[in-house]
Amino acid sequence: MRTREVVIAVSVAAMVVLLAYAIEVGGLGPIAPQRIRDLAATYLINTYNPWNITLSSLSLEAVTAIVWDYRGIDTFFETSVLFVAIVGVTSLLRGFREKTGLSSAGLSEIVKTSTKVLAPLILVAGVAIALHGHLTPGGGFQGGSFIAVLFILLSVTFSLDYAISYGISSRKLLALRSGGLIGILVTSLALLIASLILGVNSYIFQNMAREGAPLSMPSWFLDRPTGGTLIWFNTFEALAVAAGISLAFLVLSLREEEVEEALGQVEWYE
Amino acid sequence: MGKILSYLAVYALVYGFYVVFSGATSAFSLILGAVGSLLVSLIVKPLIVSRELKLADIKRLGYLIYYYIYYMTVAEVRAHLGIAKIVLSRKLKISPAIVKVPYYVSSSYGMTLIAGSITNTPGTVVVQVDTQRKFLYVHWLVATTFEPEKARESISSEFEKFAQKIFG
Amino acid sequence: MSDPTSLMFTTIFICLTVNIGMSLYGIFVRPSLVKKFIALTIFSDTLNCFAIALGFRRVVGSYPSIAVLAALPESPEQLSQLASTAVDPLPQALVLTAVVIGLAVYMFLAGLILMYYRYYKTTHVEVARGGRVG
Repeated sequence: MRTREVVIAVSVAAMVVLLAYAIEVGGLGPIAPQRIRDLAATYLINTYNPWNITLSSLSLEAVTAIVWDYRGIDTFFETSVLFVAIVGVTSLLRGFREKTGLSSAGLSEIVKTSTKVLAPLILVAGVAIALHGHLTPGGGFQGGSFIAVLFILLSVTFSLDYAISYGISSRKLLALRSGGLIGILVTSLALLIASLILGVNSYIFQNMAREGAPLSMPSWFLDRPTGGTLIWFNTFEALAVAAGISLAFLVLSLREEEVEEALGQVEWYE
Repeated sequence: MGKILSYLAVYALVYGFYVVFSGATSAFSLILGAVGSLLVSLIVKPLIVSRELKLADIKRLGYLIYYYIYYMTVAEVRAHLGIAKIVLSRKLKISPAIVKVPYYVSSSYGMTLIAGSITNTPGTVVVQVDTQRKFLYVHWLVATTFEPEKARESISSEFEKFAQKIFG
Repeated sequence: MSDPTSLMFTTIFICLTVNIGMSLYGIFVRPSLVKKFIALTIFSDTLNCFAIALGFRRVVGSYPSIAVLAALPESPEQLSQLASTAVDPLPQALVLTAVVIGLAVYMFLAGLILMYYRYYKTTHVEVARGGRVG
């Protein structure tokens, strides 16, 4: 046992030294080069480019434009992976039942009251980050995580009992999560459906007009661009992520009394 | 009427924070934020407001703002000076102890305001609260007395005066 | 190696490499599944930092302006000026995807570890193999 640990330690240390040396001599390419790759420059120029609309997504934020427009299908499957993971977590404990009246102590009254004051501020900060995802750094995932923090905070300071009796249940969260995903799907197909009616060409995940596909999403709301589909994607993604992470936390923090029934039905394989 | 006022107060808090947080100046941000804040305040109002508000409660807001300025400029500075004197003196003249301090406000917001004010002034930290018997357990750096009433006089009576007026 | 930017980046990369080594050691050697899980999260966060750092660029001389579009650009020249100073956005977008998928994997792993604990009443890996703890 000892020799095994020593061998692992020595080989990991050797790997670190060799990797550091390889980086030092430029094995990963030049560190912090003066020129970025042409691909990156293309993204930077075309992200918000009203003079060349067929390559642009009319969003001021390049990362959101790449995530939801240029590589939209990629991100759609990424969201599906998150959904599948949550389904997996839930099905590990399938048959659980949320109960109230188990332990409703939570933390002290001071912490509870401070959390009450913080709760609306966390929620609205998440909303602000999600809505401005195409203008400033941030986006649907970040805003949704903000909102999920609120649920985690509530269930820790007030106890899970309080959160459940406030009206948060795994069924509602799953419904919200699915609603967010359906919203993403509808947004990605919106232009396709519109073009079927109007009889012109279009693509899945189309945002602005492309060559041979003249339709584009409404890209301007009052005095700021909306990035076409981006604002919808961000909103629905925030909803889906907030509900999904809350659901996963709810399932992971279930009390023993709530899962013993579910665990009793499981056959343990030796 | 009281119900609408409660919702309006929560909405003002939420929307004001939204404007400050996102630095919104464009009509895009302001209008979307107004809609988002409406949803948020509908969700969280039952959590944070337990009694119905009245128009006369606007006086309490004035007290809150006055208390904030007073606390940040007078109470904080006085406490900091006291601690600085202890830290910089040659001999460490401290007698740390945990004392029981009673409080008489009825709402949990008032209690939290007192506890927060005590903790934020250097030299005193609230370590536990007993809501049934209405005691705060305070760690006090220069404990001069263990009598609950006398300790209250020198630690929290001036905060409590305001907490009574603001939250009742 | 004389100019401070290279020195800073070399230091950052070497620290990240050391971090990778430590987290790999944790994954291989620590017997507790929770410790392995924590080491795994450190490992993936380090790799994400690596990817972000690879996207940086150096601008010679003083920076002409902050390299973001703070307001709506008025001419195409402003866009090409942005492209001449801004960092590579592609690694950041890919890291965002990696973070989300990492979160999904960690949630599932946490659920599995919880079930392991409920069955074996410990998180020691050797117990499942029938070995002794210690």
